[in-house]
Parts: sequence; C-alpha cells; structure tokens
Amino acid sequence: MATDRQSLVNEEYQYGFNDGDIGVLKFNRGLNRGTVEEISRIKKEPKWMLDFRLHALDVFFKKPMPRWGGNLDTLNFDDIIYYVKPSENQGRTWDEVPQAIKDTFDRLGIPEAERKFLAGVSAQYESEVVYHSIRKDLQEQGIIFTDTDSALREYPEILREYFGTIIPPEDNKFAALNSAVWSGGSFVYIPKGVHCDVPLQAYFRINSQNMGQFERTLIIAEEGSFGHYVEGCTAPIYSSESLHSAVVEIIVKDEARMRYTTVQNWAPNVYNLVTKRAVAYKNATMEWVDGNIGSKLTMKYPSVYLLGEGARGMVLSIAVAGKAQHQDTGAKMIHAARNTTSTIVSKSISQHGGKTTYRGLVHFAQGADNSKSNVKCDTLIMDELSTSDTIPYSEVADSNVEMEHEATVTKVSEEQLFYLTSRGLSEEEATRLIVMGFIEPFTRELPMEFAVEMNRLIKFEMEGAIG
Amino acid sequence: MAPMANATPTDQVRKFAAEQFGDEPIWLRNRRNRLLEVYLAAPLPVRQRTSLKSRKLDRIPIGSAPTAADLPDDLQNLYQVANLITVNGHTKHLSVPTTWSDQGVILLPMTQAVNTAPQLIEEYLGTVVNDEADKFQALNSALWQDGIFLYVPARVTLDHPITVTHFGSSDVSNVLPRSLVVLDEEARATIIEQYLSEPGREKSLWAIATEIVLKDGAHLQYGAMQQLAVTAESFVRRGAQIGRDAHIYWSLGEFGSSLSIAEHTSLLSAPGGQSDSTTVFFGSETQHQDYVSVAKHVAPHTTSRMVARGVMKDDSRSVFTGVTEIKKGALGTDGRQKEKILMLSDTARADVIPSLLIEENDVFAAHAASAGPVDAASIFYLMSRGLSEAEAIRMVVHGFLATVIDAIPVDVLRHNVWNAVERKIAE
Repeated sequence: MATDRQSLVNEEYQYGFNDGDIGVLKFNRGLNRGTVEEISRIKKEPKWMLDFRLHALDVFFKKPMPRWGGNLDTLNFDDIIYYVKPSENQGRTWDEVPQAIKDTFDRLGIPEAERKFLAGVSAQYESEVVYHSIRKDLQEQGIIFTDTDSALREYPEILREYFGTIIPPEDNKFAALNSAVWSGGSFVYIPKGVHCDVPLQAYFRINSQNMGQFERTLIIAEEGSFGHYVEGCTAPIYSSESLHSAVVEIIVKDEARMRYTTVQNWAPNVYNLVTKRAVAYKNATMEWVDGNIGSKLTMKYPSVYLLGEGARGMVLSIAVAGKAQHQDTGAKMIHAARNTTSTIVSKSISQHGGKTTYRGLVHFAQGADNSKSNVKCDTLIMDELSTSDTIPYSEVADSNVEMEHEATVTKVSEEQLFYLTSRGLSEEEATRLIVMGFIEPFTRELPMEFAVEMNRLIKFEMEGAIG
Repeated sequence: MAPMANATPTDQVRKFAAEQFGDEPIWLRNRRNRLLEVYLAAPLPVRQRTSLKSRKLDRIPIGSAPTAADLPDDLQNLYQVANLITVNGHTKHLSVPTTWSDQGVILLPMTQAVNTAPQLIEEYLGTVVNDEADKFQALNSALWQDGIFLYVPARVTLDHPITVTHFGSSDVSNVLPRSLVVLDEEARATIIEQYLSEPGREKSLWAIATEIVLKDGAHLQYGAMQQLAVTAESFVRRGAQIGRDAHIYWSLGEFGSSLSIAEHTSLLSAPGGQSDSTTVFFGSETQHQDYVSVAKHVAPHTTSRMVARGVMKDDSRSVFTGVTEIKKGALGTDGRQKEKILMLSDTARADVIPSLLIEENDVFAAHAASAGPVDAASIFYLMSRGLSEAEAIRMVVHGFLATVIDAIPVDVLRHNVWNAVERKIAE
C-alpha cells in the first residue's frame, strides 16, 4: 500500500497546479481552544460567532470518529493547519489580487470564463476569499453573492438567522469541526421572486501542504426565486494528507428553485468529508448535481429535507474512483410532507483498483402521503482490481407512498465493445465512448464549460484503463 | 461490553447442561460446554435497526426442563409419509419410508443421530453457521435440542418431501431446535420445517439453527414456515454450503412471533452453484421482523436470485437486508435481488436495504426494490364489481404475493403459506 501511494504521488498530476507556498499568515499545526479564538480574533468576529465556534469545538472533541464508510485511520487532526490567510486585505478589484494567484486562475481559465459566463467569481485560495466580484445587474436585483466572512460583517442579521440551523454542529463530527474553524465559502441570498439567470460560480483550491479547507456555504432562496450555484475544485498534488471538510446549508422557500452544481477533482491525497443539506418548503425544488473525481477518500451524501407539501428533490451524481481512491458517496431524501417527490440518479465508475460505494437513504415519514421516490444507481467496474458497494437504505413509515429503487453493477458490455470495434474504433476509443454514454445523464446537466472540463477529466482518468 | 443478565443463575444453567447432555459423546459435551461459556459471557446482540434492550429477553429463564405436552388435535394432519415432530424440543414422532433406509438414507432426530451417525455429525456440525455469531446462536449451539438430521447418499432422490414440525406448548420457556442436512453428490431432497406454538402466559425464547451441506450436483428444496405465537421471540440462523453445480431453493414464510430475527446465507463456494431464495413476510399488530438474506459468491460462475415480498399491517415494523456479496475471483457470477413491500397501514414501517458488495468486475449484479400502497384504482375497480373493501384489499394482497407463493415448488408448503396469509389478512 505504501509503495502504491508513493508511486502515485511521484507521477505528475496533470490537473493540479502548485505555485509554491504564498500564504502570508499561517497557523501552527493542530487544534485547540486557542486556535479557534485566534481565528475568530483575526477575523474580528462578533461574540456570538466566537461562542458558536467554541461550542462546536467542544462537540467536535466529544464526538467519536465515525466507524462506518471509508477508512479514516490515517487522518491525524494534529497534523493539520486550520487556518491560512493569503493576504491581509480582501481583493476588491482584479488589480489587487496577487500575481501568483492570478497565474493559477489563468491556468484554470477563470478570467476567460468570467467574461463569458460568470456572474461573480468568489475564488477561494488558501482558506480565504481573495477575489470577488459581482456583476452589477445582480446587485440591482438585490442578490447577495459574497464570501461568508464578508457576509458576517455586512449582512449579520440574515446570516445569523440561518447559519447553523440546517446543519448544527451536533450533526456529525466533521460538521462540528467545520463549525469550529470555518473560513471562506459562499453566501448567497436571492430575494423573493427574483430569477437569477446566470450561474453563480465559485472556484475553490487547496494550495498549501497539510492545509485544511473548511469553507462554509449558506444559500437562501426566498419565495418564488430561482438560482444556480456552481462550484468547482481542482487541487494540486501533495505528498501528505490534506483534509477538506465543508458544510453547505441551503434553504429553499415556498415555490423557489435552487440548483447546486459541483465538480470536484481532488488530488489523490485529500480527505473530502463534506456535509451538504438543503431544506425545501412548499412546492420548492432543490437539485444537487454532484461530480466526485479524485481524492483519497470522499464521504459526501447531499440531502434534501422535503418539509413542505409538493416539495421536490433531486440528486444527480457521478463518482469516479481511481487507484487507491475510495468514493463513498450517495444521497439522502427525507420525505416529511405530503405530495413530495424525489429522484436520485447515481453513476459510479471504479478503475485501477479504486472503490466506489453508493450509500443512500430514502425516508418516508408518517404523514408523507402521496409521496414518491425513484432511485437508480449504476456502477461500471472497469478492471479486476476495482470494487464497488451499493448500500441503499429505504425507510417507509407511511402506507400511501411509492418508492422504487434499481441498481446494477456491471463491466463494460462486450457486445457493445464488439460492435464499436467492428465499426473501426480502437478498443480504447470504444471503451471511452461507452463510458461517456454511461455518464451522459450527468454531463448533460452541467453548464457548458463544466461539461467540457468533465469530459476532459474522464478522458484523462480513462487513459490506461484498457489492458 | 458486559454480559447480558440472565433470569437463570449461571451455575444452574451449567448444571442443567451437565445433566441434560451427560450421555453424549465427550467431544460433543466439550463443544457444548465451550459454547455455553460463550453464551454466558456474550452481551445482548446489537442490531442497528432493532432494539433488543426493551424486550426484556433477560427475564426469560434458560435451561428449565421442558414439560411433556401433546400435540393439539388440529395439528394432527401434520403426520406425513416422512416426518419428524418435536414438542418442546423433544421428538414426539418420526416416520421414515422403509425404502429409504434400504437406499442408505439416514433420517433421525439430531440427539439420536449423535449416537447412530457420530462421524457425520462431528464432521459437519458447526461448519456452516458460525456458532459464536451472537448470544442466541451460542445458546442454540450449547443447549440445542432435537431438529432433523438428514443424510442422503450420492445419486439418491427422495420421493417424498420431509416435513419437520417444531411445536412449543404454552408453558415452555425456550425451544432450541438444531438441524443438519447433508446431501451427497447429485442427491435430491425436499424438506419443510414448520414452527408452531401455543400462546403462553410468559414469553418464550426460540433460538433456531439449520445447517445445510450440498455436495457437487446436489439439489435441495428447503422450506420454512414460522407461525409462532405472539408470546414467542425468535432468533433463526440458517446456512447452506453449496458445492459444484449444486442448487438450493429457499422458500421462507415468516408470519408469527412478536420478535422475529432471521438470517440465511448461501455460500456459493464452488463453480456452477446456484441459490434461489424467496422470503415472504407478513407483519401485523406490533410485530417486529428483522431479516437478513445473504448470497456470498466465492467461486466463479455462480448464480443467486433473491426475492422478498412483505406485507405490513397495523403497527408492525420490518427490516429486510439483502446482501449480494461477490468476492475476488468469482468471475462470471450473476447475483440479483428483488424486494417489494406492500404497505397496508400508515402506522407500520418497513426498511429495505438491498446491498451489493462487489469485488470483481466480470460479473452482473442488480437489485430492484419498491414499496407502495394498495393501488386505489384496483380497489375502486374491484368494489365497482360488487366486492366489499375488505374483500378487495384481500384480493390485491393475493395478487401481490401470488407470483412468489405460487412459485413455491412444494405443494404442502405452498398451501400452508396461503393459509397463513389468509389468517393474517383476516386478523
């Protein structure tokens, strides 16, 4: 195992960029009360937030490590830096952003994308948002799109009303950790009846060895509003463990619709332990589009609590696990009101000895009359080194509901391969075509530039999958 | 974790075992004694979705001498050409067709087989199920009573189904049947085990274990019907080891007992092995049912089919966990599951966990699960044809279960399952 990881780490990681360490202020490794107090002091936070953090820290210390899911044995909380601040002041304009960071963004294509598609770029670089812009028309519509630290200063009432209400620190050990040391993340507020037609986009990167990312995102979609938040990650490769533990809370009020799209491509040494949860009220729609590629271990189960009559939830996800990687992902749908519907579509690919686990829950509470859920999980295992588990939990406590679940685990169909190769494609091209077709239900839901990146990543991940 | 408290003092349980099994061969007594200590030291089992703490299982006395009792008159029809009837764990009746003995078939109560066929018992007892899996399995393995021992020699086909009936009287506190079935190469047999009891004033504890060994090319149809009284709490563990090109058909009906925990495992350990498993369960009142069905593919080109149908009434609660496990090297295997639940009540609850654990890529594995209410349009249609609502629901339940119950290959069992369904609907 050790040699495997070593050789993995020594290979050049094509989709990672490492610009050297440019962090300005860096904490010592490890976590204690002092670390949390210091983070809060540097950020000049109000007392209630400091109290929230300290309470969460207590909860974190008290909670045992989860014994299910992936293997967390090599995760050492004392070997992580909990806060890094790259520059003293928040970059208001592009000119103020440090050149090294700009270079990285150039390679990621952000300025290009910004001109064309983006409403605002909230670029998280080393734990702190360094660059941030909001297109003028969004402001005119009353939409707030900022980093969460700024929101705490500028919109304290709205933030305090919702912060930590969907995912309290007590929820799980990693939510408690995030609550204690969170930094950065996005804050989105879409006022009543406002349709935000352009996707709100944020880029996240981890760029410091052993540095944890604990971003905290809060999205509020007021009645009848619409929004699409897009988040993408690429991370440079490092030789020791890195921890990413985000919390994302979303409130979708009556008749509103929110979509949250993520494509994550973590370096193969990153622990990605994320809590994502949305509540959907009357006739509201919440959609998670979630792509997980890379990382050493990802444990992520985006969930929707369907609390209002007629609420709808959707999770559309893909997971690709390569060498020495474990994607333990899934979705949770909690039907707690009448006439609620949910859909889960999960596509997993394991290859080069990787492991994918689909772990999902569909729960129908008593009184969730006339609710429906449809779950479909498909897995492709590309070679004999790779493995896959499918563990769907269904809980039905109401008679008048319909739950359907289907899953398959297969290899690439030899019939299809034969057909394609007989038409002149090489086996490698044919396999790629089949895999692209397999994940197409996912990629077609992505914004265009993400779909392009996704296809490129899959192609790269597929290389050498034959033979 | 601390051992579970017992209603019966530890020394008294040890003394009971020494007296009860004093005549048995020394290896078996040693085995019982070792597992008795495992039982005494074990904590209450922890099941993720079934709380055992509140059930006061520790108040049920263990190892009390069973009372003599007769079979109730309405069970007299159980007498068949080939059968074994036990009352409170002791053999009451055994009939074996004479032609079978001529063919070398051994069909005996377990306690008798220990003396008649000691080599076979020693060779296979405890090799298929893990007797230390939990406290109640250890209890069975330490203090087991009569179940059936069946050995069918190579290439012999039994021309009658064997029915085994375990009956518990109202005053019995525990019944611990143990069965062992060995089918030699290309042998064929059909066995049905039934569990019945009278309601008692106190709770009774049933810990049941059945081990099945199928040699190359053997076929076994194994059926089980659990219709214990509401005062019974039952723990069941069954396992089959399936040889090359051998085939097991499980048909399990779970209807009775206030708490019913049952696991059955097909270990597909040689190429070409097949397992077909059907579980029908029907929960009513405050019954709590927790079932685990496992198909473990170790060898290449093995096949498993797992089907479950559950009907949930009143305040009943069920958990069905299907596990299709494909181990490294089990190339060309095909494992499929299908679970369906019909919800008849808003206060019932059903959990379904159809999991696939796959370590090999040249395989096919799939599952489908669904849960839903009685179709309102069907009820409306049936009532418009003059049926009462109750009658209409009954017909829909029938339709829901028909495809699996009608596929049960043994007439006796199929009729019994339908009768049990009728009783449950009418309850």
